[in-house]
Amino acid sequence: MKELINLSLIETVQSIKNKEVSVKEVVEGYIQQLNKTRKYNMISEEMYDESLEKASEIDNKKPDDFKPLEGIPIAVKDIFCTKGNKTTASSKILSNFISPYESTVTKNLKNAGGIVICKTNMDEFAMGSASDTCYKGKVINPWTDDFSKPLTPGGSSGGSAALIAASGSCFALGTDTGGSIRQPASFCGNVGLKPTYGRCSRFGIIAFASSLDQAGPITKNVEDAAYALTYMSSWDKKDSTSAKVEMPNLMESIKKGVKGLKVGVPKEYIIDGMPEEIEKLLNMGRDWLKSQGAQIIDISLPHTKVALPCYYIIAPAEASANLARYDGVKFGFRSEESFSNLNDMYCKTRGEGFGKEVKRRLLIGTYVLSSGYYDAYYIHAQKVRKKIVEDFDSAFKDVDIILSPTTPSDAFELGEKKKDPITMYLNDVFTVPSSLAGLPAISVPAGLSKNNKPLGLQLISNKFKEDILLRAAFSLEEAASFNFSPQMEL
Amino acid sequence: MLINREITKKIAFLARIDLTEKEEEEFSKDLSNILQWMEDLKKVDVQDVEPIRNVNDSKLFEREDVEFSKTIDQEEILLNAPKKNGKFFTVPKVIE
Repeated sequence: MKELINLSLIETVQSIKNKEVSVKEVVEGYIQQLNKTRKYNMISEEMYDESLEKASEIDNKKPDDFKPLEGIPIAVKDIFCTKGNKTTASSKILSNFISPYESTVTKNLKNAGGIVICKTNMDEFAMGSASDTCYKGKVINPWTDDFSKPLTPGGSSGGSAALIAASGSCFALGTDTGGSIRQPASFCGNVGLKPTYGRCSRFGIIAFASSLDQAGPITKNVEDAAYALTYMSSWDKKDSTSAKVEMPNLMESIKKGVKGLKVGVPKEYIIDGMPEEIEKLLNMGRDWLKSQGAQIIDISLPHTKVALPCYYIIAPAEASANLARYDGVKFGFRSEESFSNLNDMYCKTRGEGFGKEVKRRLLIGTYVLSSGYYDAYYIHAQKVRKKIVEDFDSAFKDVDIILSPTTPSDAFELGEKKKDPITMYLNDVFTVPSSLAGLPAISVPAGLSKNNKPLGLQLISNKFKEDILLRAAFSLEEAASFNFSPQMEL
Repeated sequence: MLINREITKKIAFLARIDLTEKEEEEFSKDLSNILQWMEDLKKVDVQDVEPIRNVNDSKLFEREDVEFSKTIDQEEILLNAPKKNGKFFTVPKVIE
């Protein structure tokens, strides 16, 4: 039998259900592994004592009411409010915040029997692509060979993705605004799923860009992602943008294969300066799906190139409004300096409480929303966003699924892209367009780079078609049969 | 440079963020570069295009006009206050 910590989510559920293992053994196994992998700095808050308590409780109760995630340890990105626990979004400004309420997604998972085992480090307020802006230090990718040159796990859900790669859990939660689940999943060799905007309630998720933010699972395989999403999503009256659209039965449809499905490959996703190995991987993806009976169609998404600048107006604009609430009055950090007046307190608190990338984006957002620039930047960007949505609408008249690389490279060295923020922003070139259109998308590990680091392929489907998305992802996963894990020195 | 230090200072005050001199300089440069990079957007023809506000076209739902049930009590809320006095949040003097 496989070691406990190497089981998938569904295998773990089965083992607990069949009484092959106790919940306590599962939780203890992961705690042990998490203690051994501390050097990767994945965790913001350990919840081991309460997890073990919960585990014993489940082990001792009557066996007849087995819940779908009974006893499953879940690592939760520190952007989800969990009642009674520290919830910091990896920011100094929330470093002492203890949430008095529970996010809907974590509530759903707890109701399904899940146990939150820890909270994970991330880019501050989810703004970043390297998990290097966390106030508690950078997260390190477990695929790092040389610790003097640590690799990024990607971001912003880098702690969650790294933790799955390090076998610290079989299910981690992330959030994705412009690629923050898919890019780290690609860099860490796991599956990252961003559902349709509105599938999962945003209630209790610390807001970054409200028209884009969406929760999703990071798992070891596609079937686990389907299973996890099934119990995360819900219509929620506490989130007026959550969708009242019934979720298709994901587990039933997932193994139906891709025969007869039309897969579009957008020509705009082959970009200048992209490493050859990425294009090669994309071609392999085409061939895999084709050999399984899918029809491959070349398509065009003409506004792909402007998606990134469009995103970097809309997301910071929304962020500058959302982050206005951190004023040092009602909760969170307040500067220790002395103040001449109330404004002085706000300015000092926010100046000390926010990190550099957050400040940068708040300044961009404030600028594009300021009077005189609002129409030229913000309204214009919303119109361009509409064009991007129309690109996808028209593509999905001809195809069921879109295939692309997830990222333009494999995991890079931490600090490598620090000098110029735009180089860092370019990381999200393949993930941002579908975010702007609110579409579901998934990254599936598909191969290794010449540096022996994981590379992912991305699939995108039409709105609320997670069933088709996961079907295609399952087939792609089978064909790619990515079976590598990081060689960690513990 | 599109954004000079004066403009950066002005935006930083609008955002209520104190910047160091070094940050002012650095962010002026960054913001200029980022806004320059956004120039491409202006080339997109968006005549007669309605700005998008909601990607799902979902309609806002209505709820009964009744009082919400109280889920968090005052004490719990005040636990997170950086400074408080009895049942109140406290701030520096506002009236001069």
